[in-house]
This record gives sequence, structure tokens and C-alpha cells, in this order.
Amino acid sequence: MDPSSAGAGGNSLVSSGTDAQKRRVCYFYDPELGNYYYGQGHAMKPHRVRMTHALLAHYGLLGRMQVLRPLPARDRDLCRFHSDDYVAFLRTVTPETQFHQISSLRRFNVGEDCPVFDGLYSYCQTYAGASVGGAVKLNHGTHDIAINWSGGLHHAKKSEASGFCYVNDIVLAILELLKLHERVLYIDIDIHHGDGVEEAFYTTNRVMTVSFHKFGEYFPGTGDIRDIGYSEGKYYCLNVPLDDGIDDDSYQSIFKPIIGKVMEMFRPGAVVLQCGADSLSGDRLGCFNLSGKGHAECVKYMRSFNVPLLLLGGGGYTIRNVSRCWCYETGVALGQELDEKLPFNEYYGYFAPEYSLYVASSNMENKNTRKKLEEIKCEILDNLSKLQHAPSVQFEERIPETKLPEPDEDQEDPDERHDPDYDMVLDDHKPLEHSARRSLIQNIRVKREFTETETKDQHGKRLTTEHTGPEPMAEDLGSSKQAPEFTTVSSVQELQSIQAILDVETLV
Amino acid sequence: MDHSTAPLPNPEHSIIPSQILQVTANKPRPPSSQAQAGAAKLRARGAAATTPAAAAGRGDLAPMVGMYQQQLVDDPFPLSGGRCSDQPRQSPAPAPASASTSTSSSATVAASPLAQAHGASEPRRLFEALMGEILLPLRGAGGGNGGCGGGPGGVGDLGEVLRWTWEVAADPVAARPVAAEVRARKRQVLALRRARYLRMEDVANADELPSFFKKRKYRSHNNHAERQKGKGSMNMPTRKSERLAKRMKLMTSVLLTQRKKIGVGEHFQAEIPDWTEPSSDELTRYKNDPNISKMLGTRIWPPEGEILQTDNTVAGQGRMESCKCPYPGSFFCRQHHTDVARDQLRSELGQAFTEWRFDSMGEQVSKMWTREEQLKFNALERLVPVLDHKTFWAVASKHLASKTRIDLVRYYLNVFLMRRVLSQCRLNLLEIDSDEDEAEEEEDEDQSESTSISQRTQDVQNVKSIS
Repeated sequence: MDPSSAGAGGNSLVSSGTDAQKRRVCYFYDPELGNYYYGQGHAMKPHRVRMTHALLAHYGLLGRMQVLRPLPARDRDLCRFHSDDYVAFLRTVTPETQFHQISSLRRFNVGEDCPVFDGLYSYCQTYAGASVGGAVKLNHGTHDIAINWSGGLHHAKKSEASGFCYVNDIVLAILELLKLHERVLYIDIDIHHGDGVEEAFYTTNRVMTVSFHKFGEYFPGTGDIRDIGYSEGKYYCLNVPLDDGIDDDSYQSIFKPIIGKVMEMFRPGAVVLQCGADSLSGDRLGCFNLSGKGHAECVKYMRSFNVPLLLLGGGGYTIRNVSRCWCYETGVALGQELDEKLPFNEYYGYFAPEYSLYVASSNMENKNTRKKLEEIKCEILDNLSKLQHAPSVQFEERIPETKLPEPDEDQEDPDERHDPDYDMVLDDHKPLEHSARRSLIQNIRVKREFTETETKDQHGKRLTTEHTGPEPMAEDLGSSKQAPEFTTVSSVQELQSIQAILDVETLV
Repeated sequence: MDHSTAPLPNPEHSIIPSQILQVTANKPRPPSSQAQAGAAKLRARGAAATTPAAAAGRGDLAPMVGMYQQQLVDDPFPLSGGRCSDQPRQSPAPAPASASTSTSSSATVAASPLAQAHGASEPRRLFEALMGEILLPLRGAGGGNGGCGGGPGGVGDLGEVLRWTWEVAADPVAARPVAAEVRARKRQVLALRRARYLRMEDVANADELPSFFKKRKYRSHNNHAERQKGKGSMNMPTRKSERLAKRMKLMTSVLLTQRKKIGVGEHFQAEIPDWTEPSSDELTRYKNDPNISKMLGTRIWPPEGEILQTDNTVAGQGRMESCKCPYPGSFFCRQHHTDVARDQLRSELGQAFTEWRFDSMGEQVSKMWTREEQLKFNALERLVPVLDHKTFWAVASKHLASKTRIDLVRYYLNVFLMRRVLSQCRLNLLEIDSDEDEAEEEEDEDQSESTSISQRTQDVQNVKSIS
């Protein structure tokens, strides 16, 4: 892989700073964090951050950075995003008392994948505090890159734990950055879709979320390419769905063009990069085939833009690989080459028998065809072109009438179900709990009603009077190729109804 | 498959995570016979369990079918809550006579629980048409079809599919005569399920959360090569159809994954103020605000009073090519070099070495453990099926009474797992996985014996060398 050519797009934006130039890096580490233990057999092991730390120490990298011990975030810091009752629950639940709070466990989705373990709350406070601390560092302008490998828990929602994540430190960090930056870019290279962060910023144009992830019968299930944001946040959300076995070249062939364009169009004041290491080859839960170097290429690329950068951890369940990956990426952040032969360190035995820094990729099959990747890339770039350069220029005048149907949907009775294909209410009066409360922005279902009110010109394009912006109308976002790829259409009728709905989608 | 361990009186703190599990289900069984994660869960589940268990025990199909018929005849939109729990979850004993009678006697698709939700006529027509299409390939294929001609055109074979499904549910492991037919039937059933369960997130009794699958799943999931991809596949209340599919020995991955929704509204989004460019005053205020600066934490490096020096130190160096140890590459060689490296680090870092707790990393932790304790830990870890998560820590606590839970965990992470990687290497296992908390299930019996012997030898050696 030749980084220099691929990085050309990035460098063109940079007035100063090149790859070679040093960056001022700060790094947050809490020595207690390695001892938090999710439970026997649980894939998530905070211990991996400690292993990373040992590697950094023996490579002599710690001496090159400012290293800080984070301050645990306080309740009110967490409540900047999370709901009060959820935070209160996290604060009070313990392994011993949890069975007295079954309904709360269910409500907040705690107890299964997100188990209650000793020290859970202080664990959350620590990693969240570190991420916010990193954001403050960047805001202060004293450092170019801030690192928190214990953070990056991107699945946590406002009132709900999910996917081993309890508190969404990323959202909190971004909120801190937004105090001094008009626009913040979030990039997620974890193999799982960054749903928590996407959801938190789904309706704003101040944060752009871009996620590269495996899509299709995979946790968490969101991250469809057609999810592009909503209301003011429309087009400020990008989802790049990938398939098993993607390798370094394929990944960079789609990562760099997209991110390059994003940087150009969005011009963020700060970038947050979630470096989930479960996209590495050989991950216990993942199914990609990136090498350590391929993964780090993303870090290298983001660094080259010379924009304040917050590096966070995330997934990663083969801890010998995770630690090497993040150690290597710390080196990348510092602009420091590292020897392939690992230095002796406290966890040396974990890296037997090779004792090499590099995480190798395997010969697994890459199910992402070039053609498919091209299509994905084109669609994403197409969506991107709909961005105005900066949201301070109003994208379009939103006449209140256009908004009416959508807020109504939010206020709908959550018990009502809308089946997108049959356009009727399916009653299910099970008392709906948390997962129904997370109600239902229906990109598909948009509005049958709309079809009546709009007019079509002879080419079947929609004409409306609502949009005053220069946006070209009625560009079907490749709907004809979309539908079959990401849902299984089991009848002609389904396909037709999906088609019809997608036609309407461009209207919103 | 039939080990149902009794529920523990004192459940460990962590509930078994589900993410590792392969989704294939084995023989369906009523939930009540499964080991539970906790007493309270057991209680909660007991209520739900009795009904299906009882129903299964009765083996009485007729009332269930009648129920659906009834619903459709009386009320197109059954409004009773908890209808989902009325679904056939247990394996009903097939009463073919009554089943086919009832199916053929129904004028419409009434007998099919699949259709019960679609009361309104227009969706029902759509559904029937959909099912007709699904059933099309099999229509006329073979004379074995029950001639249920009743119903609007195209769904006459539904009863046949239904009866087949019931038979499978009742006895999944029985040999099916025609493999091709089985495959075709499976496809049909899945397609019908798709049609029936077209929306996400049937929220059901969360005490039905399939944690009870875990035992079964772990046992069936003993192959290193097969890993659960798909974190947290059970972390949300799974759709009814998915749970049912699991019991049918089918992969839920075959099921349609409907496009999952993003939440919109005040319960989901973060609050973001409108942007105004901060004045230089505001900027200064921000930078000087102690509440904000507090979040920076404590600086550990460079130490107080010193400045970061990035140019005079060499960084990025790995280990030397070769060493002068008498036995290069041996445990002693490694240990020696690690000790040297640590000493060097200590002198470089000074105070920070302690602050970063380098003294409680790696093999250092084993220094606090006697030889006996270490051997005991290893033995326990191997004897107790590691799949049985809760039991291990409870047992370990009991037998190593002087060690707190934190001590045990610390030892486990710093010493035990690392040594296991090394022993795996020695055995030249192709896949080394330091993190597999599940016991390596050896396929080769001989190998497994030698593993334990050599492992024990190695453990002794490890321990000896250290103490």
C-alpha cells in the first residue's frame, strides 16, 4: 500500500503540517482501568489498555507525550448527554443488588451483554472523563492529538446500555469540542456500526458522523447506507456498509476518497476518530481482514489533515492484537517509527511466538467485490455532494409546513406499529418497553401521504415548492440498485412498495 | 446436551454474556428446564415457563388452533395484550388428524398462526398473495400434499407446510425421508416467517431473554474455527421469530434483517446549542475556567517541574536480535530480559513507574502467590468447565480463601492468560487465542491428555522459576 499517493487528497487541504511534522500528543491513562472485569468469558477486557500501556512504555513512547491520569467524570458531566435516571441507575446498581432491579435492568438493557460488574460506575466515569479531558486538551490548543484508548464506547445510548457500552464517552467529548468548534467530524472504523454516536447527532448539522462497518446480520443492525440523517442533520450522516473479509487495499480504496471528500466539504474544526480494533484480522468477534498497518493507515491519514484529532479506542477482542494495534497507532500519532521486534515488556508472553508488532492479515476471502465497493463509494460521494460547504449557509429554508408530518411521527403513539410494506397499523399491545420507546424514524415509510400532495412532471420527478435551495431535485439515490442489496425482497409487491417509498424519500 | 445445572443460590455478579454464542439452536425445549443465571430470573421465568410446559405436557393441539380460529373469526384486530405469549412456543405434540381437519376446515388462512395478525382485509389479501408466491414452487410437487383446497387460491398448501412444521417442532432430530423436500420446506417456512414477522422489535417478556440458551450454545460451540461473529446478537430482546427460529435449529442469520430504525426525538438526540463564534473573551474564559480544566486530570508525565523532551531520547526501539543467554528463547531468557527492561524503565520513569502500577503487571503479580496457590488456580481453571462462568469464580474464591476477588482477577489477567498463550505456543497450536476463556476443546483425545500433562509440567516449571 502506498500511503503517499493515497494521502494526496488529504494533504491538499493542509496549509502547514505534513506527515513528517511532529504533533504535540497527549495521552490519558488510568492504571486502575485494567482491573475492571466484565466477567468470565466476556469478550471485552479493559486489561488490553494496560497491555498497550506497557508496550508504549518499553518502546519509549511515553516519554514523548504528555501523559495524564484522567479525572473521573461526574454525574452532571454524564448527564450532559445521558438521562438522569439512567445515570442514577448506573451509579447505584451493583452485582449484589441488581436482581432487585430487574425492571431497570431491562429498561436500560443492562445485565446481559452489558453486565453489572464490580466498579462499573467508576469504570464509566474513568473512561468518560478521559475522553472529555482529551477534548478539553484540544480545545485549549496546547496539543494537536489527544489519545484515550479506554474510550470509544460508541454503542451507548441516551438511556440505554448497548454492546458492552454504558456511557457514550464519544458523545460527551464531541459536546465538549462543540463549545469551541462549529463543526466536528466523527469517524468510526470499528467493525460495528457507531449507532450511539450517530443517533445522538442524527438531527444536527454541526456533527458529521461517518461509520465504516460490517452491515448485514450483524450487530447492531443499523448503519444502512440509506441512513443519512434527518431534518437539519440530513446528509450529515454517512454509513459505509461492508462485507466480510475486507482487506487493506479495499478498505483504503473506499476510506480515503470518502474521507477526503468529507474533509473538503465539511471542513470540521476537530476530528474524533474511533479506532475500534475489532476490524482487525483475527478478531474474536470481528470478520474483517485488516492488518495492523492497514488499520493504522486511517490514523495516519487523519493526522495528515493537521486538524485537532481525538483518538479513541473501541471494540477489539483479541487483546494481543488490540494492544499492538493501538501501540502502533500511538507511534503513528507521534510520527515515530517503531521496530517490528517487540521490546521485552510485562506482557511479552502474550505475543508469542512471533513477538512482532505487526498484526498480520489472513487469507480469508474478501466478500467485498470491487464493483460493490465502487457502487457504495459512488452513492456516498453522491450524498456528500448534497452538502453545502458549511452549515452556516442555510441549506434550505425549512417552511414549517414541511416539518409537520415528521414531528407528528415522533409524537405518535409508540404502541402503534407501522409496517412499511403494508402501510397499515399492526397492533401489538404488548406493553412496549425501552426498545419501543426508541421509536421509529421510518426512512422507508416516509409518507404515502406525500405522494398525493406532490405533482410529478412527465419524467416522474417530484416537483415541490418547498425547497428554495439550489439542490437538484428528485435525484433518486440509486434507489433501483439500493433496495435489493440491503433487504431481502421476497415478493414483487414488496419491491414495488419499496421502490415507491424510495422515490418519495428524496423529498424530505 | 442434557446437563441442566441447578441454579446457583448466590449468583456471581456477572451475567453470562451472550455475544460469543453461535446462534444455532439445538433441540427446542421448554424454557423451564434450563439452568438459570440467577434465582430471580428463575422466578420470573417460572411463571412464563409453566404454561408452555404444561401445554406441551398435555400435547393437546386443538385448543391452540381453535384459539387462532376464534380470533380471526371474531375480531380482525386481536387487541388482547400478550398475544405474543400465546404463540406456539413449545413443541406441540402433533395430532395430525385434528390438525389437518382444522386446517382444511378453515375457510381462509385462519388455521395458520402466521396469518393471525393480519385481520384487515386488504393486508390479508396482500399476505395471502405473498404466501401464494412463496408456496408456488412446491405446489403440485408431489402427491403427499394434504389436499386442503380450502381458502383463496394459492394458499391451499399452507396447511401442509404447517403440519410439516409442527412435526419438525415435535421431533426435530427425527430423520426426514426426503432431504430435498426438507430443504424446500425449510425455505418455505422461513419465507413465511418473514412474511409474518415483517417488523422489528417484538418486545416480549424480557425474562424470556435467551440467556438460557447459553449452556447449550457453548457446548455446541466448541470449535475454535467457528466463532460467534456478531457481537451482542442477543443483547436486545430478540424478535419472536428469531427466538422461535433458534429453537428450530436454524440460523437466525437466515431471517430477514429488517432495516433497523434510528431513534429521533428528545429521548435519543443530544442537545446541541446553536453555534456562535466565541469572542476572544469567551475563549479566555473557557481556558481559565477551573471546572473545565479539572477535566484534564493529573499530569503524570513529564513530572512536575520538568519539560517534555522529545529529541534526546531514543524511541521506537525493539528488542535485540540475539542475546547471550545460555538458552535463548527459553522461559528464563525471556524472564531475564524482561527484568532488565523493567529495571531500565524504572530508572527512566522514576515516580511514574509506581504511579502507573508497573509493579502489578505481568509475572510480577504471581510473586504474591505461593506455588501451591498457583497450582491450585490452574487446576481449578481446568477442572471446572470454564463454560460455567459463574461457578468458576465462586469455586476459586472458596478454595483460595486468602485471595480477594480482585486478586483472583488480577492474577488471571496478568499471569494465567499470558502463560496459557505460551503453553499454546509450545504445543504449536495453530490458533493461539489468549482470550478464549472457554476451554480449548481438543478434538484429538491424545492431544488433550498430553496437553494437560505438559501444561502441568510447564506450570510447575513456571512457578518454580519464579518463587
